[in-house]
Amino acid sequence: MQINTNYTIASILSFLIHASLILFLVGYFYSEKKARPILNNPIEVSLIFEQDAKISSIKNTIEKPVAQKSYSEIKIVSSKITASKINQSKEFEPVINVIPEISKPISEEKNYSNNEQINDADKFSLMIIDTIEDAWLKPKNIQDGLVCDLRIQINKNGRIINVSLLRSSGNIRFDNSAIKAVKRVETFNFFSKMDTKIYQSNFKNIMLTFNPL
Amino acid sequence: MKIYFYLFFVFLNLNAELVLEITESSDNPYRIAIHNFDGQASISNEISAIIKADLQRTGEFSVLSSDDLLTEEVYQEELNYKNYRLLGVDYILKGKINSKDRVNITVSYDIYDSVKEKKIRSSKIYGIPNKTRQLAHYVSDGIYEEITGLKGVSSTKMLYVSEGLVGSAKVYKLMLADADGMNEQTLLKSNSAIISPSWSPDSKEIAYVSFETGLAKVFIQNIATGSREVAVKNKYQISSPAFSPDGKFLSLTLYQDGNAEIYILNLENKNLTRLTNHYSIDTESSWSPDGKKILFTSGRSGSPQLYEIDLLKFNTKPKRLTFDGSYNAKASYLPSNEGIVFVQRNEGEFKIALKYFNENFSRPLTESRLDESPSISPNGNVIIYAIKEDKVGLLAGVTLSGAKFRLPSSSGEVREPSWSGYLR
Amino acid sequence: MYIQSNNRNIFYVSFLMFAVSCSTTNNTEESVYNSTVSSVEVSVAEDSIVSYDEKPITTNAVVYFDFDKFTLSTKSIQTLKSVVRAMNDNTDMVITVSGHADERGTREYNLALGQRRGDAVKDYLLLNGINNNRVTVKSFGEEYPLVTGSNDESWSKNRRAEIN
Repeated sequence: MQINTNYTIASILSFLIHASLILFLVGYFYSEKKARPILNNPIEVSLIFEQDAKISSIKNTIEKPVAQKSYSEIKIVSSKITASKINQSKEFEPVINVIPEISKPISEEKNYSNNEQINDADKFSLMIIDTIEDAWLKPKNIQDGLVCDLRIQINKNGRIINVSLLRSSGNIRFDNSAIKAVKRVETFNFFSKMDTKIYQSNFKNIMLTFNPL
Repeated sequence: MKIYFYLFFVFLNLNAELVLEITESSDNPYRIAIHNFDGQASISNEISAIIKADLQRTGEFSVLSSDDLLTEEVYQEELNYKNYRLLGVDYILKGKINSKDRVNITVSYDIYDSVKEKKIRSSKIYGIPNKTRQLAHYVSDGIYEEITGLKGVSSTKMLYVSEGLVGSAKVYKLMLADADGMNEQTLLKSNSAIISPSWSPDSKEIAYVSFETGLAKVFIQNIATGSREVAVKNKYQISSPAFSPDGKFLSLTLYQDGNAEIYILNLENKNLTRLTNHYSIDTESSWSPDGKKILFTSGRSGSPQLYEIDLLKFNTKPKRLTFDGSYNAKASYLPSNEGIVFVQRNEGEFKIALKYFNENFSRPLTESRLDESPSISPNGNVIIYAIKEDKVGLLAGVTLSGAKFRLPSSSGEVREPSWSGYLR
Repeated sequence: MYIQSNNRNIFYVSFLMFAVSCSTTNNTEESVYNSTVSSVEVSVAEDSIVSYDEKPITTNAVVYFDFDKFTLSTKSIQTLKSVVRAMNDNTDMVITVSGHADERGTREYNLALGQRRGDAVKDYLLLNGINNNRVTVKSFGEEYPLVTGSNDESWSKNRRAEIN
């Protein structure tokens, strides 16, 4: 009897393992292209590392695991790439002109007016996207559909103090192009206009998704 | 003494090494400032020049040398990172050459990140005095790897065929050179044609087709010893050799069945396995990086197109891969197994094209009319190929990032380049 | 206790500073790889590419082909008819058909194409009663063009099968 039970357990386990393997291979567990909306109320951010004191940065190295999920998500949608997709051309150089429908709302934001209906955090998010999009050159001769995620830490002056690759696109040149864009931006000058409270709760630690649609 | 020196110098020039020419750079390169290395000036200048050319040829870098920089930072311990950022410099290279010991040369170098404001790499390379080019290539690869995360190919080699005239007779040579075309060495010299050079996966042996017996025959030659043997001994024509990624097999085109068919030769026991069975031309076999599939050119649809056979089930019909254009041939896989690079004829012109498996169109990579023999670098980022310009055959290169370069020859025509594997 | 914990803190801090600084600078060392290269020289044997010695009477005939094709034109067939006659007249005669291609396209495919062209000629001859043993086919692809030049005229002269 005992032997039978062992067999049953073994076969159930085996079935589960094989089933999950098959499902994994089929892609059941992989969810692609989830829409990532710009958060109006970003997730609460815990204490962040600033490179002012070396010792505090070391302390924070220990605390790293805690800070895992506390960042605001900002989606970089390269409107340049969208434009070239619409042209259906085989030209894979990013198009400089932004297509009208998308550029309109952004240019409205650019007035930086004190429109109370527009959430300040959203406004700054769009400015961040703008700045990085201007600096991002998608590499030539890579496939469509690549997406990567970067995590960046920004100090109160807008200086990007750390960049790390959170999720690779699978193509190193694509990942590198995203990191290059962020590093070349180096500083978001408009952070000086940002309210400290807004900075503290939203922009110390952000995640950027590079996704040419 | 003076005369001997002069003659020696002249002799060096007569060796007719290939010279590099960059014709187009990529659009978003990393910008690196290279300071002259400390140490013996002549070696330092040579090494700096080689590193600069190597990095430019990767298509991912643009190089500023000391002359372009506003301030000479050599004697300062702490770099003025802000100045570099103002110049648009992403990375800084500083190094030292130690050649006091006659037996060794040691190169040590440091790479600094101008945005992170810190040193990101410190490396040492041990070399020997008359091989400074190789030392420089190792430095280039170290820089490339640290910054891009991809493996560098500056220290790899290439094979190609050169055709020249000695008097009125044609001389064919199978040449070995560094990835920048320098340091040429002759592996085979013959007065009949040589085609299709290819590397074994460990880069220690080569296979090629030679017409020296009056018929096309495949030879396997050991680079170090020069010993060679015919791959298959029979009275028929054999061509188009390609080693499997594990080095145990050689795919070949045999003509013994009355038309070109692809076979696989087991290099150990010399057994031949037939792969194709069709009355049309089947040739130009090439292995996938995992050794499970073979790509080849077949005329079975009426014009040369690319087909793929899955070796794990090769009794099934070969799968056709190319549908656009009237001529698609000489394909090889990208090392990442994400696509293929091949020759495509479009509107009467032959170009090198790239096609990813998950896309249904091909991308032309080159622009001249008679391009052929593409060979991909082991990191999958650079493709060298042969062009014909003004009746002369030359080698050219194109990177996936859009940079282009030439390796013009000063000794007759060159063609059929083949890129080695990693040698580091 | 107090002193101990202080030491411990210092140890941790210095270890971590070391670790952090070590982890952010990539230190490497390597030696350059060296290898020898040998050179081989080969001379072609006397009776190689095209040999005129063996045959008592030579027939130098050439037939031409269209791009990427190995079909015989009516003109080619005329030429081959005279070859058949010559061979019937002289039953000792043995011929070699060498197939060629123009420079366009890939070398290996052209080698196979040259073979098809040679075979097309041989097939015609066999159909007309010539014995298999008397005809050998070789291909040289694009390697031995008759005319150099990258234009239609030169190319058309190179797409040939030579009968010797």
